[in-house]
Amino acid sequence: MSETATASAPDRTGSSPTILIVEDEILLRSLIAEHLRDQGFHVIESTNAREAIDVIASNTPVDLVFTDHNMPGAMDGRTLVAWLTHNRPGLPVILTSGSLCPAAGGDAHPRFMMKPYSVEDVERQIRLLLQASRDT
Amino acid sequence: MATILVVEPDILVRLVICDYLRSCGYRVIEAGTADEAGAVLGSDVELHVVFAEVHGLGSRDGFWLARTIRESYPNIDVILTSGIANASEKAAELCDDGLMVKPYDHEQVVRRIKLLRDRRNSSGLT
Repeated sequence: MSETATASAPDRTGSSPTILIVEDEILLRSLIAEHLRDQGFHVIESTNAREAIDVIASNTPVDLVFTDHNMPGAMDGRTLVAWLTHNRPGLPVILTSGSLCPAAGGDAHPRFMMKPYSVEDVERQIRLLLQASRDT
Repeated sequence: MATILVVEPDILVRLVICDYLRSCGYRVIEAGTADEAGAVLGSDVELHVVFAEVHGLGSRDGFWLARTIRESYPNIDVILTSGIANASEKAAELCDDGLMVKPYDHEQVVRRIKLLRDRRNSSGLT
């Protein structure tokens, strides 16, 4: 039997918030991304900080960044947060790490989540931060 | 519906094709490097099709990935893509319908996936 696939372009107009996940561990990233998509979010998956900057610099709409701290490459999560604070002030950011909260650079004050976390915890924190962002 | 692993190093290309495939009803897993693709292949995720760029995937390329899948995961179909024309000949040895040359049409990717899945389903090899 033929599998059906409806060919239609993604419609992003007036839709749910876009979450940019920055995480180098693919199985963890996929797990979080799939859960958030199941909950109605639009998710962009970035494997490192450099890719995240490429997305932001391309003016792709992003409502919140959820980033790991320890990542390969020239930039870690803390450096990415500092970049975002400078280039996209007001964009909500959650920084996560398996160790104690790394001090973010400059005036950055991201929300921090300690690993390990559940996908439900991640969703809850994202919803709270988006709501707080809308209220301010 | 089939699960597709997209292996593409350019995030702006990857996010568009992945969003498109999801809008068509596929479950899509995203990888930026061949090593990431290897991690998914070695996990318990059931994959049906791998759609991979040939170049820019880190220490190993899309040809390595296609060979690995052909040798160790014969139930998974592979589609290779590249913007570099001379990749075509080598790709033809590793995937049945040859290389998809970039820039590709998104509907063309879905047609290729459906063709491979229909072939599997009709041969009972899923």
